[in-house]
Amino acid sequence: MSGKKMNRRDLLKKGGAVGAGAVAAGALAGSGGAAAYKVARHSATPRRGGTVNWALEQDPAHIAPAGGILTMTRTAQEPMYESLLEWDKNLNIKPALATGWKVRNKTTVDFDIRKGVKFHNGDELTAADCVYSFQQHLNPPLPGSVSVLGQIPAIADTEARGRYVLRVNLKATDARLFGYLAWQRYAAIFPAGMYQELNAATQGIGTGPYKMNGPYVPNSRISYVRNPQYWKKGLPYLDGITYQIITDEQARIAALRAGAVQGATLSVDSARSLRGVGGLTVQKGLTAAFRELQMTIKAGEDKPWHNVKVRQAVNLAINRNELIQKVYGGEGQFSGHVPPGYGPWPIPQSELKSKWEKEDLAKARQLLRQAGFANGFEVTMTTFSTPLDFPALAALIQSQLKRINVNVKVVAQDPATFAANNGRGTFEWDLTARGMRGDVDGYMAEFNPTGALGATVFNTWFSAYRNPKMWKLVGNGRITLDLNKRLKMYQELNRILMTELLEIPLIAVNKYQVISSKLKNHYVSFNDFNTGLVRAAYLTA
Amino acid sequence: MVATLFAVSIVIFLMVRLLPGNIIDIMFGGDAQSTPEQRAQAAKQLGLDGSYPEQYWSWMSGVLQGDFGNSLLSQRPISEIFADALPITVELIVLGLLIATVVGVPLGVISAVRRNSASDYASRVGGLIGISVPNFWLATLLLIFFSRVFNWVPPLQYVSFFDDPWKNIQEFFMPAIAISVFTLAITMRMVRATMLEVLNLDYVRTARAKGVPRRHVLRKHALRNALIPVVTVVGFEVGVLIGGAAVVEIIFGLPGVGYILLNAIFQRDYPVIQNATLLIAAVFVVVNMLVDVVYGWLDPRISVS
Repeated sequence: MSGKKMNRRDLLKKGGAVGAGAVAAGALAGSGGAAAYKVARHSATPRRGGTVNWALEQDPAHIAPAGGILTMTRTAQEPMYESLLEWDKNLNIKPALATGWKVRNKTTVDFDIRKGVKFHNGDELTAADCVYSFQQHLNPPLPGSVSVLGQIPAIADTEARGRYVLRVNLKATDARLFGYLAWQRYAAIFPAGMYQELNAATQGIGTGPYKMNGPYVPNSRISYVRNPQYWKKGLPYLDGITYQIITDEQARIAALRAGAVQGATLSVDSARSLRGVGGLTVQKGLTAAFRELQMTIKAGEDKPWHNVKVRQAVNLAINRNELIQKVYGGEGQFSGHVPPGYGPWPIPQSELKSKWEKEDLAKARQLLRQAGFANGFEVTMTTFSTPLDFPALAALIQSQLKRINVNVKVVAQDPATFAANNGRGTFEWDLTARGMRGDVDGYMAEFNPTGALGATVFNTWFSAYRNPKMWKLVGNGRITLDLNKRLKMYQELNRILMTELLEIPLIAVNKYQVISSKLKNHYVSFNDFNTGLVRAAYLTA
Repeated sequence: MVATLFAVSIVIFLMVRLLPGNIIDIMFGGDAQSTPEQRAQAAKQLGLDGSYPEQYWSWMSGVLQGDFGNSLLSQRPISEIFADALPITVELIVLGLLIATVVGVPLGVISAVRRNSASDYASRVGGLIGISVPNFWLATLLLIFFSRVFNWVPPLQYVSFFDDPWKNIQEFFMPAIAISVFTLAITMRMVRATMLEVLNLDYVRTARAKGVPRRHVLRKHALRNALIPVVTVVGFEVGVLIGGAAVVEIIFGLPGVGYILLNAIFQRDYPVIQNATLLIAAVFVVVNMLVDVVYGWLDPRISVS
């Protein structure tokens, strides 16, 4: 296990040995010790040097490692903070600041801390630093927010078992632990006492490939320089990265054209307009932010979509190919409740297209007739007013559903209003985008009312719905460490969800980044951040 | 002035809370999972758990002691946020006003003096265009034009004029032009109209008949009187400039007060919204007071009480 790539299959197979009752202290660990990290091979020899200016489309608000609510907060701090595990480009879990781990029992995991890793201040990383870090994550100090705790698995506490062994004690068996660590968003490791020594909102000390070059200047920039003591030998290639905050898209485009920045995330139309422009390369990659139609099925209400046949009819009337063609220029994929690209968990594209999400108006009308709604019904669907693809998507869905006499009134709302209605369940339907999760459970937890967190969402949105089989699968999926068993559970669960359609997943969309042609080996990360820039990219002369 | 600001504080305090959604909703919104206990904890953490009078008093008592509180999102002291943002907005508005008056007043005079000439028509058409063109459109157009034709964009990081004047000028000239055009057009048209009126008055004609040089007549007799209503308009335009500055700041990435305020509205960052609005209201009140003072200077017959 030391230093070599481990995919989810290997990882959970070893955990499964414990799940089956076989406690194998030591048997699940690798050879331990400082694992040599192999730098990925490139077709050309990467050139070291150069600084990349990258335009961020949103101010991160702060760069504190614990409790950041904005995705941009993690993006902004990614160059300097790491965690015990990491994902590779394909979301395979790899060792990072931990070289290996032993699953002691269902609620105890020991991580071997990589020896010789230095923080940016020169201090060596030890288990005590990890303990401190997780204490902050479990109780985020300001400017962090407790609102992120729902993304953290059931960690009771952590303890240092010696200088280089971190013990994680769970409140209950929780298979989310490893994905949570690999995601790194809520699991950054920093030196003990850091919050007392500096202003974590604008400064930071981590172990990452870059260290801060001056404090974060709000609404302006965050500047990093290479960490010469980085534990992955040979990395990073760049001398530095400066994130410039440019919220206006036209301004980002202008900066790209003028060469003032070497990379930026743009909307699909803007990115496509730059195809063929000399000196620029347009890249795209799938993201976890698949579009989804959500419904409330609340006790005390009597809505047509409380009937599963109505929900199935709506699903069959939606032409996902048309959504992809007309709103996203032909670039997108069908999505189930787990987005495509998310490891082995999603339903395959072929099955989605041929069975679950194949447009069939005749069947849709038949189902509506059977449900007693041959004449259709009216419904209000809320969505975001920006970005503009949401109103466009909503308008297209509105026209598609009109064909089966479902009259959709679209109401566009600003994000805060939308969030308020969504969180309180004060909507009939809404059209939204999901997001990245550390573990597949993140896409399923709302379908189980028995968990503390799921109860809130389920009881707010689905209080009139009953499906003990579904609930059991969700609950067991979270506490099952054996990968094969877990995969089977989620395969079954995925198909139940596609039958019951409490939420109707629509399409997965691409994220577009336009970079200077001199920037090589960069890729668009699935995980919402700029991992391709931070870990792999280099500049040619 | 105090009564006005007090009224503004109450109105803005209530208005933001009447907006659907708050920062807690944003934090827990979408498909994020939370329990009622966590939401209550977050509300307490951010000082949003008290009643409206309690929250208002907490804010106001701080303001009266010079403590404007912290941003709910970043936890930065608002005084720090404004210390960074205010110079940017002030510079933008001052430059915009400067361009508008330095260019607009002479253009208006020329247009009035050379009535019905080619320059008059050109000024009037230009004025019409200036009034019609939205400043955000012009700002975007300028940015695109310079980036495409000259492969140049303004510096990405704000520097103060006192630290690097040349870089500062490069950073501000486009946004200042974008923000000034509307006010320039209004000023030009107002000067032209009032000059035409004043030039036809008896005392001006008398002065010309007595052989007073034309320039002297224009500068000493006509312009000074023509400027009185213009001062009113320009004072009023400061409010328009403040509003226009917000959009232009976003387009050019200048983190001024407008930029901060707009983002705070989207994020429901109450303390920033409240304090920024109060600040803008205070500026407006002060500017109007200054307009009254300038009146008195221009026309000694007007007493300032």
